[in-house]
Amino acid sequence: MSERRTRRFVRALLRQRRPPPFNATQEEADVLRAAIALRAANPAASLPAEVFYTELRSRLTDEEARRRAPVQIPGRSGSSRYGPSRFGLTRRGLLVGGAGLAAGVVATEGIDLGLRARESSQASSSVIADVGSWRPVIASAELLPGQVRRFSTEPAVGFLSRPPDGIRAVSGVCTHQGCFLRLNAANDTLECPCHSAAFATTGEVLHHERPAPIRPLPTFQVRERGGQVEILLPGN
Amino acid sequence: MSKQRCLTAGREGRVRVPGTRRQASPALRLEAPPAEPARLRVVPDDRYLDWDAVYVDNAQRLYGLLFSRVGNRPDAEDLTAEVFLAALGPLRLSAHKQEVRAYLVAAARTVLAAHWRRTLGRAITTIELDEDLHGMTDRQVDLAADGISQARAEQLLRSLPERYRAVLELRFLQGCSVRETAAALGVTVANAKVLQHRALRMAAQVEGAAPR
Repeated sequence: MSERRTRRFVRALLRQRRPPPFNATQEEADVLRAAIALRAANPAASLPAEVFYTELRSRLTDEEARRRAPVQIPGRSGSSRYGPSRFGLTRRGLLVGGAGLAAGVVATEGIDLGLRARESSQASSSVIADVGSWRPVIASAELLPGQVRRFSTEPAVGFLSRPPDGIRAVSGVCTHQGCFLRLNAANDTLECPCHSAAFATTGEVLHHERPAPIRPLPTFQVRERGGQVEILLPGN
Repeated sequence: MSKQRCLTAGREGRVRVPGTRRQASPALRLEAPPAEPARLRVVPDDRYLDWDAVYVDNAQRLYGLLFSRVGNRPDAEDLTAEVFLAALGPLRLSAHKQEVRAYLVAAARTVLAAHWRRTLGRAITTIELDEDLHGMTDRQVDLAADGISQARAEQLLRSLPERYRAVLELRFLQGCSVRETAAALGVTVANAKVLQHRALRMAAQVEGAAPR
Protein backbone atom coordinates (compact mmCIF):
# COMPACT_ATOMS: atom_id res chain seq x y z
CA MET A 1 0.00 0.00 0.00
CA SER A 2 1.23 3.44 -0.80
CA GLU A 3 1.33 5.49 2.35
CA ARG A 4 1.83 8.66 0.43
CA ARG A 5 -1.43 8.45 -1.45
CA THR A 6 -3.58 7.64 1.52
CA ARG A 7 -1.87 10.28 3.60
CA ARG A 8 -2.55 12.84 0.95
CA PHE A 9 -6.17 11.80 0.79
CA VAL A 10 -6.58 11.93 4.56
CA ARG A 11 -4.85 15.28 4.74
CA ALA A 12 -7.33 16.65 2.21
CA LEU A 13 -10.23 15.25 4.20
CA LEU A 14 -9.05 16.92 7.35
CA ARG A 15 -8.68 20.22 5.55
CA GLN A 16 -12.10 20.01 3.92
CA ARG A 17 -10.49 19.91 0.51
CA ARG A 18 -11.47 17.70 -2.32
CA PRO A 19 -9.24 14.61 -2.02
CA PRO A 20 -7.08 13.87 -5.07
CA PRO A 21 -8.11 10.86 -7.16
CA PHE A 22 -5.96 7.76 -7.61
CA ASN A 23 -6.42 4.07 -8.24
CA ALA A 24 -6.90 2.65 -4.80
CA THR A 25 -6.05 -0.86 -3.71
CA GLN A 26 -8.31 -2.78 -1.38
CA GLU A 27 -6.02 -2.03 1.54
CA GLU A 28 -5.96 1.66 0.78
CA ALA A 29 -9.72 1.65 0.39
CA ASP A 30 -10.09 0.23 3.90
CA VAL A 31 -7.98 3.01 5.35
CA LEU A 32 -9.90 5.66 3.51
CA ARG A 33 -13.19 4.17 4.60
CA ALA A 34 -12.07 4.35 8.22
CA ALA A 35 -10.97 7.94 7.76
CA ILE A 36 -14.30 8.89 6.24
CA ALA A 37 -16.20 7.12 9.00
CA LEU A 38 -14.32 9.13 11.59
CA ARG A 39 -14.73 12.33 9.71
CA ALA A 40 -18.43 11.80 9.37
CA ALA A 41 -18.79 11.93 13.12
CA ASN A 42 -17.40 15.43 13.48
CA PRO A 43 -20.30 17.86 13.83
CA ALA A 44 -18.32 20.96 12.94
CA ALA A 45 -16.83 19.43 9.84
CA SER A 46 -19.94 18.22 8.18
CA LEU A 47 -21.92 21.40 7.63
CA PRO A 48 -21.72 22.78 4.13
CA ALA A 49 -20.67 26.28 3.21
CA GLU A 50 -23.35 28.72 4.25
CA VAL A 51 -24.47 29.67 0.81
CA PHE A 52 -24.60 26.13 -0.44
CA TYR A 53 -28.27 25.44 0.19
CA THR A 54 -29.49 28.77 -1.06
CA GLU A 55 -27.33 28.71 -4.18
CA LEU A 56 -28.39 25.22 -5.06
CA ARG A 57 -31.99 26.08 -4.42
CA SER A 58 -31.93 28.99 -6.87
CA ARG A 59 -30.06 26.94 -9.39
CA LEU A 60 -32.73 24.28 -9.23
CA THR A 61 -35.45 26.86 -9.51
CA ASP A 62 -33.79 28.19 -12.65
CA GLU A 63 -33.45 24.68 -14.03
CA GLU A 64 -37.08 23.96 -13.48
CA ALA A 65 -38.09 27.22 -15.12
CA ARG A 66 -35.96 26.33 -18.11
CA ARG A 67 -37.53 22.97 -18.45
CA ARG A 68 -40.96 24.48 -18.48
CA ALA A 69 -40.17 27.41 -20.72
CA PRO A 70 -39.88 27.13 -24.47
CA VAL A 71 -36.44 27.45 -26.02
CA GLN A 72 -33.93 30.25 -26.37
CA ILE A 73 -33.11 31.19 -22.83
CA PRO A 74 -30.03 33.31 -22.26
CA GLY A 75 -27.58 31.05 -20.49
CA ARG A 76 -26.39 31.86 -17.04
CA SER A 77 -22.86 33.12 -16.94
CA GLY A 78 -21.38 30.14 -15.11
CA SER A 79 -20.64 32.12 -11.99
CA SER A 80 -22.00 29.40 -9.78
CA ARG A 81 -19.38 27.02 -8.59
CA TYR A 82 -21.80 24.26 -9.51
CA GLY A 83 -21.05 25.27 -13.04
CA PRO A 84 -21.92 23.31 -16.10
CA SER A 85 -18.77 21.31 -16.56
CA ARG A 86 -18.94 19.62 -13.20
CA PHE A 87 -22.20 17.90 -13.94
CA GLY A 88 -21.95 17.62 -17.68
CA LEU A 89 -24.84 20.01 -18.13
CA THR A 90 -23.52 22.22 -20.85
CA ARG A 91 -25.34 25.35 -21.82
CA ARG A 92 -26.06 23.76 -25.15
CA GLY A 93 -27.58 20.87 -23.31
CA LEU A 94 -29.80 23.14 -21.27
CA LEU A 95 -31.05 25.05 -24.29
CA VAL A 96 -31.76 21.87 -26.14
CA GLY A 97 -33.47 20.39 -23.13
CA GLY A 98 -35.78 23.34 -23.18
CA ALA A 99 -36.51 22.73 -26.81
CA GLY A 100 -37.39 19.13 -26.17
CA LEU A 101 -40.03 19.69 -23.54
CA ALA A 102 -41.78 22.94 -24.13
CA ALA A 103 -44.56 24.72 -22.35
CA GLY A 104 -47.79 22.82 -22.29
CA VAL A 105 -46.20 19.48 -22.93
CA VAL A 106 -47.04 16.80 -20.43
CA ALA A 107 -44.65 13.90 -20.55
CA THR A 108 -46.28 10.81 -19.20
CA GLU A 109 -43.27 9.60 -17.28
CA GLY A 110 -43.24 8.34 -13.75
CA ILE A 111 -40.52 8.17 -11.15
CA ASP A 112 -37.69 6.05 -12.29
CA LEU A 113 -37.10 3.72 -9.38
CA GLY A 114 -35.31 1.61 -11.95
CA LEU A 115 -32.17 3.29 -10.67
CA ARG A 116 -32.05 0.56 -8.10
CA ALA A 117 -32.96 -2.28 -10.32
CA ARG A 118 -31.28 -4.10 -13.12
CA GLU A 119 -31.18 -2.35 -16.45
CA SER A 120 -34.45 -3.55 -17.80
CA SER A 121 -35.91 -1.99 -20.87
CA GLN A 122 -38.51 0.60 -20.13
CA ALA A 123 -41.59 1.35 -22.09
CA SER A 124 -41.20 4.39 -24.25
CA SER A 125 -43.29 7.33 -23.20
CA SER A 126 -45.39 9.73 -25.18
CA VAL A 127 -45.11 13.45 -25.31
CA ILE A 128 -48.68 14.66 -25.28
CA ALA A 129 -49.40 18.33 -25.61
CA ASP A 130 -52.37 19.21 -23.50
CA VAL A 131 -52.94 22.33 -25.52
CA GLY A 132 -51.60 21.79 -28.98
CA SER A 133 -51.98 21.96 -32.67
CA TRP A 134 -50.93 19.80 -35.55
CA ARG A 135 -47.97 21.24 -37.41
CA PRO A 136 -46.70 20.05 -40.73
CA VAL A 137 -43.03 19.20 -40.58
CA ILE A 138 -42.27 17.48 -43.83
CA ALA A 139 -43.98 16.43 -47.04
CA SER A 140 -45.19 12.83 -46.98
CA ALA A 141 -43.38 12.16 -50.20
CA GLU A 142 -40.10 13.04 -48.58
CA LEU A 143 -40.38 10.34 -45.99
CA LEU A 144 -39.99 7.02 -47.73
CA PRO A 145 -40.20 3.64 -46.04
CA GLY A 146 -36.86 2.79 -44.52
CA GLN A 147 -35.81 6.41 -44.35
CA VAL A 148 -35.19 8.42 -41.26
CA ARG A 149 -35.59 12.16 -41.51
CA ARG A 150 -34.82 14.77 -38.96
CA PHE A 151 -37.29 17.54 -38.32
CA SER A 152 -36.81 20.73 -36.45
CA THR A 153 -39.60 23.07 -35.54
CA GLU A 154 -40.33 25.40 -32.71
CA PRO A 155 -40.17 23.97 -30.05
CA ALA A 156 -39.43 20.39 -30.90
CA VAL A 157 -36.79 18.50 -32.80
CA GLY A 158 -36.87 14.85 -33.62
CA PHE A 159 -36.68 12.08 -36.13
CA LEU A 160 -39.36 10.68 -38.41
CA SER A 161 -39.44 7.20 -39.78
CA ARG A 162 -41.90 5.07 -41.67
CA PRO A 163 -41.81 1.45 -40.54
CA PRO A 164 -44.38 -1.01 -41.87
CA ASP A 165 -46.82 -0.35 -39.05
CA GLY A 166 -47.03 3.39 -39.54
CA ILE A 167 -45.26 6.69 -39.19
CA ARG A 168 -43.26 7.29 -36.10
CA ALA A 169 -41.79 10.46 -34.59
CA VAL A 170 -39.33 10.37 -31.74
CA SER A 171 -37.68 13.15 -29.83
CA GLY A 172 -34.25 14.13 -31.03
CA VAL A 173 -33.04 15.15 -27.62
CA CYS A 174 -30.91 12.74 -25.63
CA THR A 175 -32.69 11.69 -22.46
CA HIS A 176 -29.46 11.80 -20.56
CA GLN A 177 -28.45 15.43 -20.56
CA GLY A 178 -30.35 16.97 -23.40
CA CYS A 179 -27.85 17.08 -26.25
CA PHE A 180 -29.13 16.93 -29.81
CA LEU A 181 -28.94 13.46 -31.30
CA ARG A 182 -27.35 12.76 -34.64
CA LEU A 183 -28.61 10.27 -37.14
CA ASN A 184 -26.26 7.48 -38.01
CA ALA A 185 -27.91 6.45 -41.25
CA ALA A 186 -25.66 3.48 -41.83
CA ASN A 187 -26.68 1.80 -38.58
CA ASP A 188 -30.15 3.28 -38.42
CA THR A 189 -29.44 4.67 -34.98
CA LEU A 190 -29.59 8.01 -33.25
CA GLU A 191 -26.37 8.87 -31.52
CA CYS A 192 -25.52 11.34 -28.82
CA PRO A 193 -22.23 13.17 -29.26
CA CYS A 194 -22.00 14.04 -25.59
CA HIS A 195 -21.73 10.72 -23.79
CA SER A 196 -22.00 8.12 -26.52
CA ALA A 197 -25.58 7.11 -25.92
CA ALA A 198 -27.33 5.50 -28.84
CA PHE A 199 -31.03 4.96 -29.53
CA ALA A 200 -33.02 3.08 -32.09
CA THR A 201 -35.41 5.05 -34.25
CA THR A 202 -38.14 3.55 -32.09
CA GLY A 203 -36.68 5.49 -29.17
CA GLU A 204 -35.36 2.38 -27.48
CA VAL A 205 -32.03 2.76 -25.72
CA LEU A 206 -29.38 0.73 -27.50
CA HIS A 207 -26.29 1.83 -25.71
CA HIS A 208 -25.21 4.12 -22.95
CA GLU A 209 -22.29 4.47 -20.59
CA ARG A 210 -24.02 5.92 -17.59
CA PRO A 211 -24.19 4.20 -14.23
CA ALA A 212 -27.96 4.43 -14.24
CA PRO A 213 -30.27 3.46 -17.08
CA ILE A 214 -31.35 6.33 -19.28
CA ARG A 215 -34.86 6.62 -20.55
CA PRO A 216 -36.00 5.77 -24.03
CA LEU A 217 -36.80 8.68 -26.29
CA PRO A 218 -40.31 10.02 -25.96
CA THR A 219 -42.51 9.79 -29.02
CA PHE A 220 -44.66 12.46 -30.54
CA GLN A 221 -48.17 12.09 -31.84
CA VAL A 222 -47.89 12.05 -35.62
CA ARG A 223 -50.27 11.84 -38.53
CA GLU A 224 -50.47 12.50 -42.24
CA ARG A 225 -52.84 15.03 -43.73
CA GLY A 226 -52.99 16.54 -47.15
CA GLY A 227 -49.64 15.20 -48.25
CA GLN A 228 -47.91 16.47 -45.16
CA VAL A 229 -46.58 14.70 -42.11
CA GLU A 230 -47.88 16.53 -39.08
CA ILE A 231 -46.85 16.46 -35.45
CA LEU A 232 -48.93 17.45 -32.49
CA LEU A 233 -47.04 20.22 -30.75
CA PRO A 234 -47.91 22.61 -27.97
CA GLY A 235 -49.23 26.02 -28.76
CA ASN A 236 -51.69 27.30 -31.31
CA MET B 1 -15.72 12.02 24.21
CA SER B 2 -13.63 14.60 26.01
CA LYS B 3 -13.96 18.16 24.89
CA GLN B 4 -10.73 19.66 23.67
CA ARG B 5 -10.02 23.26 23.05
CA CYS B 6 -9.37 22.53 19.36
CA LEU B 7 -12.98 23.02 18.47
CA THR B 8 -13.23 26.28 20.38
CA ALA B 9 -10.26 27.63 18.48
CA GLY B 10 -12.47 27.66 15.42
CA ARG B 11 -10.35 25.09 13.68
CA GLU B 12 -12.99 24.44 11.12
CA GLY B 13 -13.39 28.14 10.52
CA ARG B 14 -16.35 28.42 12.85
CA VAL B 15 -16.36 29.92 16.31
CA ARG B 16 -17.82 27.61 18.83
CA VAL B 17 -18.66 28.44 22.42
CA PRO B 18 -18.29 25.45 24.71
CA GLY B 19 -21.48 24.35 26.29
CA THR B 20 -23.82 25.60 23.59
CA ARG B 21 -25.27 23.44 20.94
CA ARG B 22 -24.43 24.22 17.37
CA GLN B 23 -27.11 26.35 15.79
CA ALA B 24 -27.90 26.24 12.16
CA SER B 25 -26.69 29.42 10.51
CA PRO B 26 -29.37 31.68 9.02
CA ALA B 27 -28.59 30.66 5.50
CA LEU B 28 -29.43 27.08 6.35
CA ARG B 29 -32.82 27.81 7.73
CA LEU B 30 -35.01 26.86 4.83
CA GLU B 31 -38.70 27.53 4.90
CA ALA B 32 -40.23 24.44 6.36
CA PRO B 33 -43.56 23.28 7.71
CA PRO B 34 -44.30 24.35 11.31
CA ALA B 35 -41.99 22.68 13.80
CA GLU B 36 -43.17 19.46 15.30
CA PRO B 37 -42.21 17.96 18.64
CA ALA B 38 -38.90 16.19 18.42
CA ARG B 39 -39.93 12.59 18.10
CA LEU B 40 -40.05 10.03 15.40
CA ARG B 41 -43.06 10.74 13.31
CA VAL B 42 -44.79 8.73 10.69
CA VAL B 43 -44.45 10.44 7.37
CA PRO B 44 -47.94 11.52 6.42
CA ASP B 45 -49.36 10.03 3.31
CA ASP B 46 -49.26 13.10 1.16
CA ARG B 47 -47.39 14.76 -1.61
CA TYR B 48 -45.09 17.65 -2.28
CA LEU B 49 -46.66 20.74 -3.74
CA ASP B 50 -43.80 21.60 -5.99
CA TRP B 51 -40.20 20.92 -6.67
CA ASP B 52 -39.04 23.54 -4.24
CA ALA B 53 -40.88 21.72 -1.47
CA VAL B 54 -39.03 18.53 -2.36
CA TYR B 55 -35.79 20.40 -2.08
CA VAL B 56 -36.57 22.15 1.19
CA ASP B 57 -37.62 18.92 2.80
CA ASN B 58 -34.74 16.80 1.61
CA ALA B 59 -31.68 18.91 0.86
CA GLN B 60 -30.19 18.78 4.33
CA ARG B 61 -30.85 15.10 4.77
CA LEU B 62 -29.34 14.31 1.45
CA TYR B 63 -26.29 16.43 2.07
CA GLY B 64 -25.80 14.79 5.44
CA LEU B 65 -26.13 11.36 3.92
CA LEU B 66 -23.57 12.12 1.24
CA PHE B 67 -21.17 13.80 3.63
CA SER B 68 -21.17 10.73 5.80
CA ARG B 69 -20.07 8.77 2.74
CA VAL B 70 -17.38 11.05 1.31
CA GLY B 71 -16.07 12.77 4.38
CA ASN B 72 -15.37 16.18 2.88
CA ARG B 73 -17.45 19.23 2.12
CA PRO B 74 -16.61 19.97 -1.52
CA ASP B 75 -17.47 16.47 -2.67
CA ALA B 76 -20.58 16.30 -0.52
CA GLU B 77 -21.81 19.59 -1.92
CA ASP B 78 -21.12 18.59 -5.51
CA LEU B 79 -22.75 15.21 -5.17
CA THR B 80 -25.80 16.67 -3.46
CA ALA B 81 -26.21 19.12 -6.29
CA GLU B 82 -25.71 16.34 -8.80
CA VAL B 83 -28.45 14.25 -7.24
CA PHE B 84 -30.98 17.03 -7.27
CA LEU B 85 -30.11 18.15 -10.77
CA ALA B 86 -30.41 14.60 -12.04
CA ALA B 87 -33.64 14.00 -10.18
CA LEU B 88 -35.29 17.13 -11.51
CA GLY B 89 -36.18 15.68 -14.88
CA PRO B 90 -37.80 12.32 -14.22
CA LEU B 91 -39.45 13.25 -10.96
CA ARG B 92 -43.21 13.22 -10.84
CA LEU B 93 -44.63 15.40 -8.10
CA SER B 94 -47.85 13.45 -7.80
CA ALA B 95 -45.91 10.65 -6.13
CA HIS B 96 -46.02 10.12 -2.39
CA LYS B 97 -43.38 11.73 -0.26
CA GLN B 98 -41.91 8.35 0.60
CA GLU B 99 -41.59 7.52 -3.05
CA VAL B 100 -39.87 10.79 -3.73
CA ARG B 101 -37.46 10.23 -0.88
CA ALA B 102 -36.78 6.68 -1.96
CA TYR B 103 -36.08 7.98 -5.40
CA LEU B 104 -33.66 10.58 -4.10
CA VAL B 105 -31.83 7.96 -2.07
CA ALA B 106 -31.63 5.70 -5.10
CA ALA B 107 -30.26 8.57 -7.14
CA ALA B 108 -27.75 9.37 -4.42
CA ARG B 109 -26.66 5.76 -4.41
CA THR B 110 -25.93 5.92 -8.11
CA VAL B 111 -24.23 9.29 -7.94
CA LEU B 112 -22.01 8.11 -5.12
CA ALA B 113 -21.04 4.93 -6.96
CA ALA B 114 -20.15 6.92 -10.05
CA HIS B 115 -18.12 9.31 -7.95
CA TRP B 116 -15.96 6.52 -6.53
CA ARG B 117 -15.57 4.92 -9.91
CA ARG B 118 -14.36 8.20 -11.31
CA THR B 119 -12.00 9.10 -8.51
CA LEU B 120 -10.61 6.01 -6.83
CA GLY B 121 -11.67 3.22 -9.12
CA ARG B 122 -13.46 1.31 -6.41
CA ALA B 123 -16.39 1.77 -4.09
CA ILE B 124 -15.01 3.11 -0.84
CA THR B 125 -18.41 3.67 0.69
CA THR B 126 -21.91 2.86 -0.47
CA ILE B 127 -25.48 3.74 0.28
CA GLU B 128 -27.44 0.63 1.06
CA LEU B 129 -30.75 -0.09 -0.56
CA ASP B 130 -32.68 0.22 2.67
CA GLU B 131 -31.04 3.48 3.63
CA ASP B 132 -33.85 5.58 4.82
CA LEU B 133 -34.21 9.32 4.85
CA HIS B 134 -37.64 9.77 6.25
CA GLY B 135 -36.88 7.86 9.41
CA MET B 136 -34.81 10.75 10.66
CA THR B 137 -36.38 13.12 13.10
CA ASP B 138 -36.36 16.85 12.58
CA ARG B 139 -33.79 17.26 15.29
CA GLN B 140 -31.45 15.00 13.45
CA VAL B 141 -31.68 17.21 10.44
CA ASP B 142 -30.58 20.17 12.53
CA LEU B 143 -27.68 18.33 14.03
CA ALA B 144 -24.65 18.38 11.85
CA ALA B 145 -23.80 14.73 12.23
CA ASP B 146 -26.34 11.98 12.56
CA GLY B 147 -26.32 9.57 15.45
CA ILE B 148 -25.35 6.65 13.30
CA SER B 149 -22.06 8.19 12.24
CA GLN B 150 -21.16 9.08 15.77
CA ALA B 151 -21.98 5.65 17.10
CA ARG B 152 -19.92 4.07 14.39
CA ALA B 153 -16.93 6.28 15.05
CA GLU B 154 -17.11 5.56 18.75
CA GLN B 155 -17.20 1.88 18.07
CA LEU B 156 -14.15 2.15 15.84
CA LEU B 157 -12.22 4.11 18.40
CA ARG B 158 -13.15 1.92 21.33
CA SER B 159 -11.36 -1.00 19.80
CA LEU B 160 -8.03 0.82 19.52
CA PRO B 161 -5.15 1.12 21.97
CA GLU B 162 -5.12 4.30 23.99
CA ARG B 163 -2.66 6.37 22.01
CA TYR B 164 -4.13 5.43 18.66
CA ARG B 165 -7.57 6.27 19.90
CA ALA B 166 -6.37 9.61 21.23
CA VAL B 167 -4.66 10.73 18.06
CA LEU B 168 -7.65 9.88 15.90
CA GLU B 169 -10.07 11.52 18.24
CA LEU B 170 -8.01 14.69 18.33
CA ARG B 171 -7.42 14.85 14.61
CA PHE B 172 -10.72 13.67 13.22
CA LEU B 173 -13.34 14.35 15.80
CA GLN B 174 -11.92 17.36 17.52
CA GLY B 175 -10.43 18.97 14.45
CA CYS B 176 -7.04 19.63 16.01
CA SER B 177 -4.05 20.43 13.88
CA VAL B 178 -1.06 18.09 13.83
CA ARG B 179 0.80 20.56 15.98
CA GLU B 180 -1.92 20.72 18.58
CA THR B 181 -2.27 16.96 18.54
CA ALA B 182 1.44 16.48 19.02
CA ALA B 183 1.41 18.88 21.93
CA ALA B 184 -1.55 17.16 23.54
CA LEU B 185 0.12 13.78 23.24
CA GLY B 186 3.57 14.98 24.20
CA VAL B 187 5.24 13.88 20.99
CA THR B 188 6.90 15.57 18.04
CA VAL B 189 4.90 16.61 15.01
CA ALA B 190 6.58 13.91 12.95
CA ASN B 191 5.66 11.30 15.54
CA ALA B 192 2.12 12.52 15.60
CA LYS B 193 1.84 12.03 11.86
CA VAL B 194 3.18 8.50 12.09
CA LEU B 195 0.88 7.76 14.99
CA GLN B 196 -2.09 9.02 13.05
CA HIS B 197 -1.32 6.91 10.07
CA ARG B 198 -0.74 3.76 12.09
CA ALA B 199 -3.89 4.38 14.05
CA LEU B 200 -5.87 4.71 10.86
CA ARG B 201 -4.45 1.50 9.50
CA MET B 202 -5.46 -0.34 12.62
CA ALA B 203 -8.89 1.22 12.52
CA ALA B 204 -9.08 0.08 8.91
CA GLN B 205 -8.57 -3.50 9.98
CA VAL B 206 -11.32 -3.19 12.52
CA GLU B 207 -13.55 -1.53 10.00
CA GLY B 208 -12.53 -3.91 7.27
CA ALA B 209 -15.38 -6.36 7.08
CA ALA B 210 -18.27 -3.98 6.75
CA PRO B 211 -17.96 -1.32 4.07
CA ARG B 212 -20.53 1.39 4.42
